Amino acid sequence: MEVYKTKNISDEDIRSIDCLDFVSSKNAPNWLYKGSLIEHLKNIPNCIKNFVPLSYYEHKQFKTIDFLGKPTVSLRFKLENTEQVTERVRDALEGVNFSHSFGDLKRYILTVCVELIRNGIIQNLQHNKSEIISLDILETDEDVLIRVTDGFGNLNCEDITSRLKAIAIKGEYERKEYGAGIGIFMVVNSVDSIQFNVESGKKTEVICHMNKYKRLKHFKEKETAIFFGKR
Amino acid sequence: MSSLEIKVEISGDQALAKLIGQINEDSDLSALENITAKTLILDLKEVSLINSCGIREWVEFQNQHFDFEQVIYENCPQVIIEQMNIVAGFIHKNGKIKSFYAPYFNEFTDEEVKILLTPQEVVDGKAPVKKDAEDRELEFDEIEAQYFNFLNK
Repeated sequence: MEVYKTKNISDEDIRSIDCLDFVSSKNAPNWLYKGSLIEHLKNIPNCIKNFVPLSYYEHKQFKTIDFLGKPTVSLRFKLENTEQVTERVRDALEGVNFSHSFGDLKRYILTVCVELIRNGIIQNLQHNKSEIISLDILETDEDVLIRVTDGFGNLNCEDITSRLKAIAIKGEYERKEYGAGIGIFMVVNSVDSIQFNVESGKKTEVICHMNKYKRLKHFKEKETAIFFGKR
Repeated sequence: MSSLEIKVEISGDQALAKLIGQINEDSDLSALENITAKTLILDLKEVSLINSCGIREWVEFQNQHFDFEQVIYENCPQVIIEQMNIVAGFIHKNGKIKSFYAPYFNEFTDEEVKILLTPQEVVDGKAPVKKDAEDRELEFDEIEAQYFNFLNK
């Protein structure tokens, strides 16, 4: 099988990526954070910019999102409510080929898209703006790539990891704020990898890779990797 | 317009509420307010989707408005079981699961099936054996320790 790498990633970087797995516990439906190496990877300049890791934990394969060509789905949002977002994404997913995957995969992809898009829309509402939130879905026979961007750049690594850990370990969420962390937890639980590229105060790009699993069981057995890009 | 419909029937001390559609932050849950019954039965079979804000609204709505002696959850679909397994408080403190759907796979026909189970059928965290019409054994299509975790809460 072919291996695609960006010019900015070294073999040493790839080895460090292995240490970023969020692994499922045998006793709980949770993802437990294994160590502090996210900090290490975050400090490698541009190492995770503009590419999506595919099956990285098995074959260390990488493909660029641009390599996959034209998106199957390309939608733009500003101030829609959840039901409007859900309806538009659900309709658009009719164009994605799910013929060889388990039945509920479409629901999990819908959830990932809606949660990420609504996160951007909520920031529009909070800041009284109408920035464009974009959704692109690209696919191969085996994979789906989801890219959501907004013009805020407000996500940060520490905040995301602390909220994920609170939900994963205790099932607790912060009630006082709008972004409680449940949404990002649902997203992380659904994807094979998630990559956050944040230009602070300017732009957030979230890229998720999901394998088109044939069986629900295999989907649930996957391990999720999380990447934070640095710009 | 809310895409969640709630149908409530009251009979003596018992109220049965059927939820149909999606639960999100715009869902109108008011039909579940001010019900005078000792027991509320929630039939969740036709809940198709719940988002993160819907989860939070649901948990907080139950805490504020459910003063029942017992809340019974029945016909819980997979999408609900997944949230019960993640979020503390998704099941009310006086809540009890009566029945829920579990995913099985028929490797002979390559088909997925959702089978209604009761908590009593899950012994030592193991999925009960289920068979198809030809008496062939189906495979449980989830991770038992994860999927049945809500029964330990």
